Amino acid sequence: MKKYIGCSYVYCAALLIYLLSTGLATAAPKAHYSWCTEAVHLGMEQQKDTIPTKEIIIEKLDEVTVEQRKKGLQKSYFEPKNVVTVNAAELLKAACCNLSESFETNPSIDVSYSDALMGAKQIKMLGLSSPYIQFTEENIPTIRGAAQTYGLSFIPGTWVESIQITKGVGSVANGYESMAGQINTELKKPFSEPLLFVNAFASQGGRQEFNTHWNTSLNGRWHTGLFVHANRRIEAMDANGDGFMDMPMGDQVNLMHRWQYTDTEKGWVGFATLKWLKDDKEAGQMDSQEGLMGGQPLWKSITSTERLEGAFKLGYVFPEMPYQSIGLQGNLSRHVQQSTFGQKAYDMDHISGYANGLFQSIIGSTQNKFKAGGNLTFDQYEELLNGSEFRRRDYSIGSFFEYSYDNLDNIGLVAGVRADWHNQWGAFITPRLHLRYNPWTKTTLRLAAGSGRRAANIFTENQNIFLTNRLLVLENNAGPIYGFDPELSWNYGGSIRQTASLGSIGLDLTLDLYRTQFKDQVVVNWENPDRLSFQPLMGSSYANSALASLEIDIPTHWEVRLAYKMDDVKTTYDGNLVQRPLQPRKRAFAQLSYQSTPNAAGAQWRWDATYHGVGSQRLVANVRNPYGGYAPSYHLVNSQLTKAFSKTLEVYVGVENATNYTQENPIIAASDPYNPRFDAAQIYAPVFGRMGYIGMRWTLL
Amino acid sequence: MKKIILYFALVFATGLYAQKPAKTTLEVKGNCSLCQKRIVKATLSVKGVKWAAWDIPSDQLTLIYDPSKADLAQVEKAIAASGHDTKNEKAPKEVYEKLPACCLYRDGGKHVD
Repeated sequence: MKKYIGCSYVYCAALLIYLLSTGLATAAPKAHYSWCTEAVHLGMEQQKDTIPTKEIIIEKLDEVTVEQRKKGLQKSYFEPKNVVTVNAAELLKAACCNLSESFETNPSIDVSYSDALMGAKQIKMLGLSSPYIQFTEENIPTIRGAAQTYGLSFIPGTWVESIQITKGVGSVANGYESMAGQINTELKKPFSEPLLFVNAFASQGGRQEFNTHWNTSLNGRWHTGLFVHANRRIEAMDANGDGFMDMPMGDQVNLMHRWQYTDTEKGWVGFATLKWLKDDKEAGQMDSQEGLMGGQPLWKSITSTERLEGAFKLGYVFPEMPYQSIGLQGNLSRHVQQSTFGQKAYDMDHISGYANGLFQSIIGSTQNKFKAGGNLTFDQYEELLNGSEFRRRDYSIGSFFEYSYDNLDNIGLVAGVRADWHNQWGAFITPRLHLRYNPWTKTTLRLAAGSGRRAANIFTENQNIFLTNRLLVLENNAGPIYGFDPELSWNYGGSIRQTASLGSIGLDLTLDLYRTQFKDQVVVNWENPDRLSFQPLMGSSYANSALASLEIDIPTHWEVRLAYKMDDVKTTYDGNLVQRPLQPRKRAFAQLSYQSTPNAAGAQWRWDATYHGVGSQRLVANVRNPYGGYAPSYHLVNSQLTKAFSKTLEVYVGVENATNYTQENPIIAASDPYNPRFDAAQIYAPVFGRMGYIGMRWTLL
Repeated sequence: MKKIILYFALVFATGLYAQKPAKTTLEVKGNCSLCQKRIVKATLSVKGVKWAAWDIPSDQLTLIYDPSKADLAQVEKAIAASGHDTKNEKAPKEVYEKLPACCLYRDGGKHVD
């Protein structure tokens, strides 16, 4: 529960300040406080707390008055789900610049490159890559279908207010697609944002970014905000001398306009958000004067994406019954990608619609709560791959019921079930269970189990398949989606968390153990050097993940995080159950953070250094290693120093990949990109070496 | 499945059409967030109480309850039995003395931590 404090905290504090300033608070303070939280939960977080809301507000206000140093990663004692909240302070530690890079300071999520050319970062959780993680933006499913590969890079980091990472299956209220976990992103709200914010960033790699947010109040109830992001990479660089750019050149313009309505007296809260994005990338061989390389045309890749999205939310809290509310939300988007990869061409047009209605109330008292509702989804995919057309229309209708129990002490439970009907696969039930037990005050045990299901959009989710000249084979089994059945998995696991103190030093030890077992899966088989096959799962496929992490809080300036992780991720390829390629079995993580005490004007130093140890990864057979093999283990270090001159101006400098570790010869057959053995997808380490950067943030309150 | 739907329909209906709940405020002595948890738990243990919140600075307990089911005297008794004084009920000495140090509100002066 405590983690939700993070996201509604700013909002409620701002509302409170506003109410106090308008004198409303003195008229009826209690009702306003509680509506505030309820409204927040209703509008933005369906995963509500399980103890009375007033208590949360008080905790929050206490935090404000004593000005405790807020931890960047927050975990809860009370929430039955295993959730880690990444707050704004933590997000500032990451070098840059979009959501995919926001996880580099967090041991729960692994970040790696998916190929040697496109610069896209992919994330993994519990050993499974992002298609198996359900992304939601303010609890509306997002980064699905066409947006799967590059979607994380389409959410600028400065727009993000907080992130909630749920390990194991998520809430049934968000749908059936969560398999390994759920990542919810809360964007900044016009209500609580300063009037003007400006951020600029430049790196050695020729990357430049610019962000500005403008937010204002129109009257007491209406607030609006305009968010503008632009980035570009203008230098073609080839540090490893293989003739290919190490990072794509390109530019992106990304706009968001938000409206927020809050009527605390009547209990209404609403949001309307409109987003538009245009992104262009150019990757491939460096330009040469004659436009040829070795007598062949240059191998180039051009990817152009345009996305338009609108979303709304409407929430109503019954004024006489602050524990009862109704929420409606909807989203409509169109995502168009046009791309070429050497001689290959791939176009994708994805139209998606989503609507969700939710009623929440109590049974008897707030110890027993429930949520019930239904949703509709619609997805239309039109793809063109080298002249072959793939068209599909998916729609589903579903209803869910989620019951939560809290004895207000040491036991909490969330039990949810949903029933859906999908036009491609018929009717199915998705059950999910989360338990929390505190045997002693500083110990939290959690257990979770549940199923998840999804349609694998095989091309758009695996765009690194276009960066090889292997023969593409679809070994389908007459299923409904590219000939495949939907993917189905069961996830079960749990965690133990123990906090302790050594004098004034705070210790927080967490052990997570999870297993995801696939019943149906579309397996991407790279084992044969000449072929790339999509196959239905024949045999076993699972991901076991164990994470031990220790956070040490040394008052008043230092924080240390240590973590060790083992991912046993095995899939049956051609009858052999083996570790999935390019998946490290072991990872180590360490982070040291320092912050000085801010003076009256807000001047402060902040510094952090992050270490990643990446264990060896299995490599598939190729022309270089005919029998496969293992990549060497390696170490990465990032560091950042921030100087806040005042509450309104900050400058930061940093370095990524400080030890300058790169993969030697990342592209197989780079000298001959039209050779069938050409393969730029076998990436286990960074392609780009040490990179320094500098940036500034300026706020007008 | 049918049972689930029926149950859902029933709960939904009772949620919407049940008798309008009443809201009231009581003074309850206490200090800190531990007290808060205990007071809320004791309040909700009384049948018919739907929602409760206790405000640390003002000592005010706000509750929403079903007047046909809940008895406010019962609420005060339950709170006192958990160790906190109300207007009409005093906590037994032996219960009060077992409260954690931060909750000992009778020593005068409010201390939140």
